[in-house]
Amino acid sequence: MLPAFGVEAAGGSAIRTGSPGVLHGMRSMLLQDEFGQIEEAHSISAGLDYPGIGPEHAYLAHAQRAQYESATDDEVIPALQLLSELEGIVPALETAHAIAWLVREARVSIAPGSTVLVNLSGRGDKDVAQVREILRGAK
Amino acid sequence: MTSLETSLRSLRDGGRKAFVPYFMAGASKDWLRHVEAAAHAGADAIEIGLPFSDPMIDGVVIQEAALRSLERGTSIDSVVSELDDLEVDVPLIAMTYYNVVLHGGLERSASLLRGARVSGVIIPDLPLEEALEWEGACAQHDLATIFLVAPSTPPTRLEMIAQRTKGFCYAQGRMAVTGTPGARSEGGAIATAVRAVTDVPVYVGIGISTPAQASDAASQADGAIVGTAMVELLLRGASVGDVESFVASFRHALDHAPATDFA
Repeated sequence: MLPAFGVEAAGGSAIRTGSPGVLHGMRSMLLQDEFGQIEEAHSISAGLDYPGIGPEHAYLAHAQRAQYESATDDEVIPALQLLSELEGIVPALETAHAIAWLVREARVSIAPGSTVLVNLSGRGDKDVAQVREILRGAK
Repeated sequence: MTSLETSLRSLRDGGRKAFVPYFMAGASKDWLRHVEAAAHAGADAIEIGLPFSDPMIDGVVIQEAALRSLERGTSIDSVVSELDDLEVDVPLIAMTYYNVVLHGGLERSASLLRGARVSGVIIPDLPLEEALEWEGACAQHDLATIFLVAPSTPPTRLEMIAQRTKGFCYAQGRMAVTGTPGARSEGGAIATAVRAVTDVPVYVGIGISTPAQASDAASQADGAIVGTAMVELLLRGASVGDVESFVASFRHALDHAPATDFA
């Protein structure tokens, strides 16, 4: 069986730092306090700025079929730029978390010559205005 | 039959339209005095909100009250302990969200609430299909599990809900979160639909902010629930006397409502 990985936002990594609960009609891993009150997530990407994760992922983690890692906001922008420049594909900020993890792990936990299949789950044209603002601010 | 339902049925059979105001537990330090004032002024039961960070069915007013309450450190345990000091003899009904009781432990939460004389619980984000375990825990402690029907509920599902609900059936008067101003309540029509399939009392809530609306809803239903209007008054710093006159105005309207049309 091929190893599978998921990459969460570091500020909203429900699988790595959350616990089971029920919110918005799903039982999954949630960021919550000791009383079951939901805690705020923080992420540069709107789609990951959420205090939980889809229950399919919680199940894959629980079943140890997939391993979950995280990427920080600071790693995500260069990852988006890299894929855009190398491949002409602008990934969504959410998707760029997977690229960021890949860049970090290449030659570390991923051996040279490996084949890695990345699911580009969303496109980044929706994010370009936000990324431009961030890059302007960084100058 | 749960003791809540026995008591609400006897209220109905005595010809009294029930008035149920809602209070956010722990929203201010004197919230228990507000509850007592409401009971004193003629409320037939009190709905007590246990705050949740993500209150899906609530609008901005109740959200604000929930945040204030959470900032004051409110939890099921703190409310249960505060309720020791409450001196009222009308039924107490808790309203909260599933993660709160799930996290506290279903059995433990049910037992704690019943120990604090709460006799019914409304959990708007718990659908029938997922409710068996909670219903089981509540049944062991004579805690009524109250379900909601909405204007969008199809007839077959309305019948399922009406048959499963205990204590009373909560008829949501409007397709909106609590405290949304707007169109006339659809609660009367839903109450009529619920009545057609069950004998359980039906109360209308959501969309009732004035005595006239309460009286209108009660022409078809057995009672009216008022949340946002009550909570808004308290957020603005209302006194015990303000609570009494607020409740008395609803009491008066309901006592002079036209008789229920069972036709």
